[in-house]
Amino acid sequence: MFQPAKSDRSSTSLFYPLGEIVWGTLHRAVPARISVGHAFGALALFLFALQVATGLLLMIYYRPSAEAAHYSIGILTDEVRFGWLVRSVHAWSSDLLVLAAMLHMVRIYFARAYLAPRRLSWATGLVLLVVAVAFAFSGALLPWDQYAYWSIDAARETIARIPVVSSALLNVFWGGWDIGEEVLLRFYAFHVGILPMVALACLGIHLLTVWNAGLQEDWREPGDPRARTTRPLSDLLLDVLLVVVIAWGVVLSLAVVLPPTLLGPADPLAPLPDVQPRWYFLPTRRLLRSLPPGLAALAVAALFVVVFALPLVDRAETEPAWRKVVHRALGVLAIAAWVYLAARQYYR
Amino acid sequence: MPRRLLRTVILTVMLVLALPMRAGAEESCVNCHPNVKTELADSVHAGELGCASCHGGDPTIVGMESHAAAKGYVGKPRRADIPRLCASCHADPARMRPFGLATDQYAQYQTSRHGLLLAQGDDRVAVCSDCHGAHRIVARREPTSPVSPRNIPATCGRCHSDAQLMAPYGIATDQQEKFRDSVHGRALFIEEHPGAPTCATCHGAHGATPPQVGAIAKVCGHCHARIRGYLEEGPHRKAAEEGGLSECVSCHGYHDTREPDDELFVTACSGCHAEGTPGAVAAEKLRTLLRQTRDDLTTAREEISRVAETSPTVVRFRPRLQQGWAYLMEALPVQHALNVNRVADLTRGARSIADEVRGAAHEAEQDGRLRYLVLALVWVFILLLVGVTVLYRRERRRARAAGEGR
Amino acid sequence: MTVDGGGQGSTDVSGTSRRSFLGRVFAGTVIAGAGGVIASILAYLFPRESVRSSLGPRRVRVGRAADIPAGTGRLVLVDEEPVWILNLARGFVGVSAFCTHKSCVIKWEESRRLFDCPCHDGRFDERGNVVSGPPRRPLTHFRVALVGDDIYVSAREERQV
Repeated sequence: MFQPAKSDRSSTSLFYPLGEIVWGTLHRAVPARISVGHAFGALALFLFALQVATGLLLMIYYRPSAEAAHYSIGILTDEVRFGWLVRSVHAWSSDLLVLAAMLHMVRIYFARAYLAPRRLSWATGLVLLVVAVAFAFSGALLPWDQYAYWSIDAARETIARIPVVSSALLNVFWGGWDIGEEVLLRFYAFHVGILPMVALACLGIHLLTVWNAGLQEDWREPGDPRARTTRPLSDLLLDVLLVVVIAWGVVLSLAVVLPPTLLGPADPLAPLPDVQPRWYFLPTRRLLRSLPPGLAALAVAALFVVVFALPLVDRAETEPAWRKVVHRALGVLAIAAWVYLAARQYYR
Repeated sequence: MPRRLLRTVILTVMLVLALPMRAGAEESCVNCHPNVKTELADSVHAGELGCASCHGGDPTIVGMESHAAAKGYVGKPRRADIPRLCASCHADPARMRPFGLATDQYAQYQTSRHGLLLAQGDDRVAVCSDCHGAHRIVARREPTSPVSPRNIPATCGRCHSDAQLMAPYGIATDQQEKFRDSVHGRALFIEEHPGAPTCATCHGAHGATPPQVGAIAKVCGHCHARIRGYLEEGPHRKAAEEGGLSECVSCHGYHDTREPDDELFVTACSGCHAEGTPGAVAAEKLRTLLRQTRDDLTTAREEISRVAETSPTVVRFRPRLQQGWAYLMEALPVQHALNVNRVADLTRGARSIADEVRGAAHEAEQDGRLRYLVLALVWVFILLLVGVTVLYRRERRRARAAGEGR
Repeated sequence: MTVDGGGQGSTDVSGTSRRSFLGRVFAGTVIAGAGGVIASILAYLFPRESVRSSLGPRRVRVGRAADIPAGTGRLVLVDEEPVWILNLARGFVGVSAFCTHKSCVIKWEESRRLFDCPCHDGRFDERGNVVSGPPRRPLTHFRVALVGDDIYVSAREERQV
């Protein structure tokens, strides 16, 4: 398919074979024309890297204990140089990462980019989306302020409605039915230990699959008369750099203008009334709180299985016109339902 | 005459014999007065006194013969006789010793306005049973006792809020109502402070009488000792001695004493000190000093709260600011000495702390404005990088096209 | 499909020179940006002197034992909070100087062995218990220790033991 241009570097070079690999990589042929939607994947990757970098920096000052967590965040945001910025960037890029991953997934769905040979990419991508949400959810608790405490309490109440498994879920993730330092330590362990490992493994497979299959040019008809043109990857990387730099500016601006709040320290005896979940949980909360809990949980789980198994259900290389319509309609319907449920919960 | 003497002797002997009589089952009174018996059983006197101790008669006899005057039957004691009746035991140190009770109540009562009027034959005044009850007398510490501190205003008010009853004496009847909303009433009823004053704290209990001019500062100073000390250092002491000033109450009132505020300087001082006179000038100075200090401290406190929303650790300045409030709190009693310089020394300390804290909060905040400046610079750099990248990319494309076209 | 690597085949001399110039500018800008980020991270990592970031046991030196003769007391500041250090027969003790009524700063009277509040006559004994006046709660205690000849106070308040 492609053949890296030969460089004049010899195998006696100090960096052999690194130089060869980098050279080959930079000159790998990629489609010259790809849709703007491709940026979401790169954006998600950049935001993930930003999460790792700021997360590691935060670990230097954060103290995972009920007594010290809130105080350490206070010190971080007030006293440590750029501490407020690191926290703010971490918080904002977590939200944007979930958003970018969702949009990425939407693009993949409509482009049918989950067909073979990218099936593993779809599966790991879905896991990565769940991991991103889990990251954001567990991270929101760590400042241990009033909002963190009572949003986690509201989530606990939602989970407690699920029959059969609620007890197991709460015991495993919350460390029991009460909310105390146990849940803080568990969420911390997930946030900085377990989830990063899952994320890195999935991300490795995800990227490897993409790398192997190459970039999908477009959702093009078979027999499209337009000629396939290519360009070197280094050229694409410049485009990515543009996206990344502008995204960085946007994240920074959001972080500076709208820094995350830090309410008073968590106080189990001073409830905040009716805390809304984070935006990505709005539809789930609506479902779990309006449908009979067993049914809602079942529906969410079933939906998940269907989405996960999508590459197995939809596998034809070409599809007839009616299926095309159904495919698109299902996608639009799913997005509309998601938005509707989110709005219902938000403006409840 | 001897018959009468004999009768008195018999009566006395019977009374003495009856007093230590246990309120046992042998009392026949309960047959007809079961309710009274129940009340007595709740009383501190249960087991100590029987019916006959106060009412006379012979409880061993069943039937109306027990009420015979010959058996020393008294019936309902006359109001005028009640203090003496109670005092027959309660003024006797020997009898009261086992109970650890004081024995000066009757002596005090005789000096009270109630006691003095009773001695003049006015039996509408309060006697022992009006406050303590008759059959069911319970200890002061019991919350249901009419003389338990929180019940005293209502107990006094039973008579003193009765306009008809008070009319002949020309006494106001709004004391209870006024007291309820005063600082003292709130301390008693709402904060339930154990040291809160009741009517009896200022007027006395058994020796109840309105404090006279000259005694007011002592009465108030019993609790507000420091203020009394400062008051006596200042020029108002002389005014009080000359009778022109009713000490504390001239400014703070009584019964409905409120939390004093800066306006008191305007309303209270102007009553005696005409505008422009040294007294009025000093009052204005004190008012300004205290008001400015309170404003400064309040501003600093709000500043901390406001900045804390974005920089939570500024709350660490709160103990420092508290020291400023302490200076102001200290200046409040000191102002009664009416020495502007002494107050100014304290308020200066308070205001310098307020300034210092406000400066520190402000400094934490300025950081915020710097952030926007840095953000703007970052955007300039980002746009520069975007421009350079776009140019570089175009150049590469052109070069590639030239290469391919060749 | 083979792609001609970058500008390998370019022969346009002026184009090459301009591109290499633009390339340098590009590389320089990227390096400058990365340098800014790294410098910020270094600033983030360098600890500040003023940061009291520790919540663990922390001590504050408040003076030498010789500064406080037996029976006397001294008012010191522990993290901005005024604290009385008393030299009593049973050793050095520390109690908060904030009255528990309205947080005025109380004064130690050696002769009466009492804390006296200048605002509302609250009085406390040397153990911090209320003796008279409007306060209802005892004073907050601070642990005091003698290390060598120096008096140290625990920066955390603790209840009476």
